[in-house]
Amino acid sequence: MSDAIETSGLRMRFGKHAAVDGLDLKISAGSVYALIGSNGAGKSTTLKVLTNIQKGYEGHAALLGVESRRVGAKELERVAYVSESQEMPEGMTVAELLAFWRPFYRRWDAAREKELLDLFRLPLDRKLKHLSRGMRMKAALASSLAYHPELIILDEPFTGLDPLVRDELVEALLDHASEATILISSHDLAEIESFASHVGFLEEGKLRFSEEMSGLSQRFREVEVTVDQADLPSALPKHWLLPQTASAVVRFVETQFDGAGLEAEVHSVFPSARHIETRPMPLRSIFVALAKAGREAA
Amino acid sequence: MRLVWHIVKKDAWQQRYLIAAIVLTAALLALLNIRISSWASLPVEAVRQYFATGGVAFLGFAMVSALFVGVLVQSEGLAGVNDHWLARPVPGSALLQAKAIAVLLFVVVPIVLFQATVLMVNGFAIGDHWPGLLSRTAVTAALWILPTAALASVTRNWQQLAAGLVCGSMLAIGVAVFAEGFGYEAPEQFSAAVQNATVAVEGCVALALVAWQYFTRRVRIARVAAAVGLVVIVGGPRQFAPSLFSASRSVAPSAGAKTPNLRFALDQSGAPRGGDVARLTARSPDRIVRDTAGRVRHIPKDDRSGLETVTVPLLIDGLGEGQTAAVSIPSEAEVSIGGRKSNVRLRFTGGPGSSDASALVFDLDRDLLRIDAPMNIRAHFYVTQHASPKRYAMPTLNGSLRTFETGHCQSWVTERLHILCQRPYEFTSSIRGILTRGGPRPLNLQVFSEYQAAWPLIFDPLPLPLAQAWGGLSVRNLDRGEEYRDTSIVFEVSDVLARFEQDVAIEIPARALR
Repeated sequence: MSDAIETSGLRMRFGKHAAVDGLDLKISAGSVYALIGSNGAGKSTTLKVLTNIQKGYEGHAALLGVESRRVGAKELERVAYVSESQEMPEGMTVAELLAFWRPFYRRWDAAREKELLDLFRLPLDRKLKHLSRGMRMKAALASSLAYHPELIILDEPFTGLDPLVRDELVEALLDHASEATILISSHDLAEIESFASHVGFLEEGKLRFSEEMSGLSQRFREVEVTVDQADLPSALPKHWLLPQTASAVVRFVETQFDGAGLEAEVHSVFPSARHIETRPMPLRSIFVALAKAGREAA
Repeated sequence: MRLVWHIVKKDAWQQRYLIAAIVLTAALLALLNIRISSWASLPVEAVRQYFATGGVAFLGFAMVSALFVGVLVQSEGLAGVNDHWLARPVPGSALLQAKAIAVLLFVVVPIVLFQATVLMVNGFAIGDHWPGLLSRTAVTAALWILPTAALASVTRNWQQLAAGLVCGSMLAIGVAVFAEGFGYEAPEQFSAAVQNATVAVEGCVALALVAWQYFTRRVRIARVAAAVGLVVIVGGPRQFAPSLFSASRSVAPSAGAKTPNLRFALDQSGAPRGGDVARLTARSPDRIVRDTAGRVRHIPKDDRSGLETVTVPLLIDGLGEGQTAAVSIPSEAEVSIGGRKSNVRLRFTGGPGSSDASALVFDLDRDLLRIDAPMNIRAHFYVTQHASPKRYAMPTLNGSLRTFETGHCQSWVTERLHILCQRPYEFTSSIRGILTRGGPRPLNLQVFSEYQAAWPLIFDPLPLPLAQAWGGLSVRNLDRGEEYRDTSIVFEVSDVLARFEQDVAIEIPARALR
């Protein structure tokens, strides 16, 4: 499968600060890729660099096979980009917004536009400045999905939205998941987990991991070990994150879980281990564990 | 092109209230300017009200046109990374074309229509004056519309744009005050050169900046360029244009040029210079010939006793029949004595056309005379050579005259006898009025045209289509001015053939100062 997005050694500096620092990323066509990371990790900058909104990067970045700095109207006709920080034309009504963008897309589908309007129940005659945050996001999405984009890039689309609106947005996205590649950056990990096929974790501009969601779920476990004496040895395996002790219990996050291997490794570190309990982790917990571990390491 | 017009239509609809405001203020200004020709019949208070309304309308037009241009550019903002259109398939070139068309249609066309209306209503054919109309519109675009667009392209909202406009204007005023404070004086002959240079540089810089932003959106570079450009535009042409202008003239090709037959002498005992001094044709009156060879090695005998003034007789020779020469000077000359530099006041004695008794007079400071060292004075003066004048006469009382050179001249009596000539844009020839009552008597006609009066940067956002030359005479009979019956006013208009700049260096030995 070809890559919809590819970067290698991507670096974007603002003065002395590197917002993106040597990013190597590949997103296969047809996947739903969730880019997660703390605030300031470089997610939004990466998305803007890819779409040639943010200029002046170093290294290599390509969108739909075209070097990002050369991405122009031809490529953007196949891309939908919606960001929570996007400044919309406040003076336009929803109908004017749709009417304005319609001629720019040869694949604009009037039927699809109507479907989206019905799904989102958008008031056509109301100006964008008079819409709620959720409605504005829906208007942006409606004007971005009506032309069957091959690549949908969403930057924090769920921020500040109520659960009902989130569900409607996800529903619209899922309708497109079969025909487009989706790259989404979000803090709403529970929402992402329900439909993302791949996930990448960005920290301080660097990609800490990038893999399939199913692999990630299998790899991460919360581990609780009951021991006689809960003393942490000075050297623990590097793939154990956030080790903690409480009376006769040691807890940590296993990042390379493989069943029997874990048991053997626990016994080698804690010879007095009496009981080992492992629990699968939701994406949110994985993210929190990774973020905390990153902060502690720093 | 379909998409370009699509964007234009969108902008027209979104900015319809601002467009309406532009059209209304332009129409109001047109109405007020149409009434200028009939102001003569109005009471003073009504004229004052017209002026006040005109001022407000002018300011209103400036503000709404700037706001329109700013909002137009910023509706698809170029200075940030969050604008909605940035990830849409909108080519920068299409956007630039659309914005240019919108500015042409909704700002430039009203400006042109405003001027055309005023000209036509006042009886001037557009066909005779279209170069002025187009050039003034271009100047307005270069000095008002393009810089506003450039500033809008590097700012994110109208607040930043307004701050930029205010700061730019303050900088312009600051430089003006600074230049005045340090005695910089743009010579009359150079004012057009300074303005042309300013207009050209400002227009080009602004256009380049706008295009750069639409094609690259590298806002940091654009902002630095805008700041540097502003400083260069504000400070550059005024300071450097005269010397650049002269330098360009000195290397300008002179092949085929007809030499104006004019020579100068700075000492009546010396032979008038000529030959290489004048290289330029009478068809290029805006060109200035510069000669640096004028040198006086000995002050004239008559002045050795006084020495509080140094008088250098100026002999201008070679004027053709009917031609005149007008001399103008800066107000100060540079003096160097004993390593100390200072300025001395410079005066000119003699009237236009009377070169026989003309002289440059340097007023020396007494403190300077106490220094026991040779004195060197450096100065320059300008000579404008006028062709033999054409003369047009009209009755002094309730007269009316309409010619291409004088424009439309009228006279009428209220508490004074008023004389007013209006001509589109400027008087291309110098104009004098002579009253024939009791022998020829020159009238003091004040000439005002926007081009002569406007500061290079603080330029009216709407060109004034009519230049005016006016004067007045007292009358004994307040109702009718009977004493002027059976007299006439003769207007003399003469083309400028050539302009000359002459440097003067005066060396005064120390012994002459004792």
